[in-house]
Amino acid sequence: MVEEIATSLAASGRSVRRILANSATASVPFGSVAHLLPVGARESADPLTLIGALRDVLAPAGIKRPVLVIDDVPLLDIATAGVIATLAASGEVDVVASARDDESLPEPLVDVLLGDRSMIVQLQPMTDEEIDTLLHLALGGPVDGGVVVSLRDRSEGNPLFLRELTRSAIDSGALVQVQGVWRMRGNPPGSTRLREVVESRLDIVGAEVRKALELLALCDIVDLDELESLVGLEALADLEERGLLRTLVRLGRQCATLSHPLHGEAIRMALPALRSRLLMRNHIAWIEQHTPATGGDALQRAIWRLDAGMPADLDSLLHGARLAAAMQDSRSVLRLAGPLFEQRPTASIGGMLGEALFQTGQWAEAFEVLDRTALLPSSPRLRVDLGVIRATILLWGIGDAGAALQTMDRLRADPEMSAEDHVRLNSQYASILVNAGLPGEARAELEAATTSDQIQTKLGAAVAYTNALAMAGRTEQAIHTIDEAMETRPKLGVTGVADVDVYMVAKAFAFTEAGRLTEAIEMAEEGYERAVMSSRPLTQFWFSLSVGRNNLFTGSIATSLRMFTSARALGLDAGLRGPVRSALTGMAIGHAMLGDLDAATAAIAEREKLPPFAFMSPERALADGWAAVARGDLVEARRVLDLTATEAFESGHICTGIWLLHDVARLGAPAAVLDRLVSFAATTDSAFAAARAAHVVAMVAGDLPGLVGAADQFESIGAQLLAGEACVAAAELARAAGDQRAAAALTVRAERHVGLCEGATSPGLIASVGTVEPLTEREREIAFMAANGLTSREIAETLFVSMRTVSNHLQHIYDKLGVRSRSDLRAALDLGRK
Amino acid sequence: MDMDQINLVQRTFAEVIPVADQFSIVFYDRLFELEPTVRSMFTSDLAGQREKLVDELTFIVDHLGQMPSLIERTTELGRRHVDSGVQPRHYDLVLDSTLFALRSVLGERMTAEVETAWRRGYNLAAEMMMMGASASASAVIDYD
Repeated sequence: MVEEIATSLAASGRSVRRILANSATASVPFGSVAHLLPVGARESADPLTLIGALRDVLAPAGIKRPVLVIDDVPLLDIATAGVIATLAASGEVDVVASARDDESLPEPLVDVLLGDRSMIVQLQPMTDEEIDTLLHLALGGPVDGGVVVSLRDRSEGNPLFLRELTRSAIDSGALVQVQGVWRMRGNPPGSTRLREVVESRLDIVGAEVRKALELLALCDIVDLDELESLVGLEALADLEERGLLRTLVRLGRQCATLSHPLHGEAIRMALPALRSRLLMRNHIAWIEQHTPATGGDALQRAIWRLDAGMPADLDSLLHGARLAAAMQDSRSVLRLAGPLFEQRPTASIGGMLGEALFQTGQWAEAFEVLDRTALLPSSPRLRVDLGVIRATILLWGIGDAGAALQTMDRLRADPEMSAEDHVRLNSQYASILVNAGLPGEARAELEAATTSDQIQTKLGAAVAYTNALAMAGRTEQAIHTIDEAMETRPKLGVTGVADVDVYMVAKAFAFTEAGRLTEAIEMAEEGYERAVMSSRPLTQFWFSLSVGRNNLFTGSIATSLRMFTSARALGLDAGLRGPVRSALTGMAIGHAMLGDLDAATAAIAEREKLPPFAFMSPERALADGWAAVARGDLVEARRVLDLTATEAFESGHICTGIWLLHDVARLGAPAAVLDRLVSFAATTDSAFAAARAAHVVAMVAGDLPGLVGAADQFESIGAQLLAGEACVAAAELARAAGDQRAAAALTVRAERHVGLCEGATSPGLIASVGTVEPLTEREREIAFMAANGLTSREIAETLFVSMRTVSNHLQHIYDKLGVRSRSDLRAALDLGRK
Repeated sequence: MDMDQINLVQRTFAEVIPVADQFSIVFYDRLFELEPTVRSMFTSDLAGQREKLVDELTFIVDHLGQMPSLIERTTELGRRHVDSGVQPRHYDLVLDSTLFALRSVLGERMTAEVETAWRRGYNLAAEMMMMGASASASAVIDYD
């Protein structure tokens, strides 16, 4: 299909360049395109030179917007993917790429391939008609209907599977041509798994010839001369005939590759480790004897030597590791810098390795490397890098903010640090403070860093500064800061998607605190999808938390609970034991608001067993508070929320403090929090804080228009549950003032808001007269019949239920609507219909 | 498609031959109704064009069971189609028009079975033509 697209694009006059990604080069920085680069550039250790050379090759000057066609894009190395992503983002090239459904895309290209401007063609299963036509053409003769049905059932219309099955059916003699028509004689090979079908096909090849396939599976592209020396030309011709390999020209030499990556996968799975080592040794010996070494190949060779357990050229490995580190390709860094560090332990290699281990979640190993690296001589700048990694692991992995700050303190006392190093150190120190639950202390330091000339320092501090500002309710500045950082980032040239994700988490957070819930949810959901697509569990965790927290505010409690539950699983899986506390807090709130006290209590108990983690820690009180509400203990709920609000304000979590106080008010004590809430809300520019303040002011004053105004503010933010509560309170005031009409209208409006809250309950929804708890379908039916004058007996007969059941339903209906008689019921329902 | 289907197509097409004019007139009316823009692909001599249609159909139907000659003729036809501006999507319109014209000739004898056989036969020929068409595209691609 990709071939077809390439051909038709070329036919329409576009300049098309094909890139064949494969598994051997997937972890070699620029390995997918090494052979395209001019020899001089290939050897360059400077990523910018390489990127420049690659740009010249992929998007040469004078050719208008060439098209890059990439087969099997998941196998593209990350470095090349990064360059292609920037070219595509700036509109210098168009990209056509293919991937199987179950594979993840290279991170840098996720945006390009799944973005708004891209077109995604999902191949549908083939229909019987299509299978029939394809088989007829491919087999060169009419095909019996039974063949189509049998192959369709097994392949489920997957063209690749169909091809393998057909091949295998012919090989096994099950599919034969009888008098010009293809028929199924007996059963085709029985497996319903593609890989097994492939294996059964490979089994037919003898052990000797299989060597060629094994070598191809390990190296993807192999010189034909080498294969011929291994198994002979006749065997190769046979493999080609069987559709197992195909030939191509690469760097002017005749080469062969497997017809399909799936074959390589199946062969590699079945290949014993020592046997592959032996094959690789022979391969290297042949290569070194027959072809001259050149730059890009030198790295590939070094990797092959590593795989074969042979001493590899350390300079090549270092060169590759540096490139990979510059392109933020942690997997390749691990592969290259790991063996390198064993043989040539230097502080810079240790730093690269430690960082990569951290990025891939291997914290214990990262610590070990950092400990060994600390004993090696290093520059001050490198020591800052190493210290930052160590502090980050201490904070996020182990949850020990004190130890993280100590690490930074030791570095700040290092006399060799320059002024520039100190700016970086201070900004890191402040970032840790934000994440350690002390955003107030951090802000001044971060402000200095975000105005620094050092772009790296500036960008490094932007996320923490955004968070600190958002927590303080200075949301406009928070959003401005993160926007600026996101714009500045591409100017660094080398892109790493990790940054984009982290920025998106911060921006979504700023949106939330500003009361721009819709935008926050949109951003977090988009980020979540990206994280899923590119298999990044760490950011997936943060986005889940964000979506969960925003849904808590909109009142979509069940959705919120689901996201927090998924965040818990993701976080535990990724080893983020401290941060998982936030997920459990969210789960406890959700369970409590849905009335499940046991589940809420269990979530809190689980949270308390986790290591301490102070990020946004005042929000923990909401779990305890709402669990108390679910127990019916409003006094305790108010106590714990009020107490923690003080802690929140002192540590700089202004928006959280306002949330806590607002909940105290919602739980029955608005007067007790009024002054504090209003004065803190005035220090923020958050629409959410303003709405909360307006709500409490109106509650205390018994101000009907004020409550309606608060409901409007909540509604415009999207906070349905809070809007519902404000309407319930307003309806009560109207009712008390004898304005039944207004009361009815407000009750209806409250129902509308609460209807969007997925079953949430809160004391604020229960009015003294009547409730807005919705009737069940059956209750509605019975209420309607009763209000229309049917007797209980008549209702029972109509619905084929017992009198007793009808009475029970009516009792529930009366309780829910707060009415005592059928005439009241009629009035309540009339109001409801208005 | 199996031998029964090939036979069915050949048997029903035998009924078309005596009323070939009616068949081809209905065919082109339908085609131009579905997509008026294709009218410009044909020369003004529509009568000659109708004859060509019946000739080509006759050859294809006769050779459905003989792949080598069928492939040779259809791929060549596909190549020529490209030159007159035929796009892959046009093949669906022609299928619709063919079935429509067949229905007008066969009436109730156009059973579901007959239609399936014709669809399969048509798909086969159309795929071959498109293969011929894509082979003719003088594409230059930088393979790595």
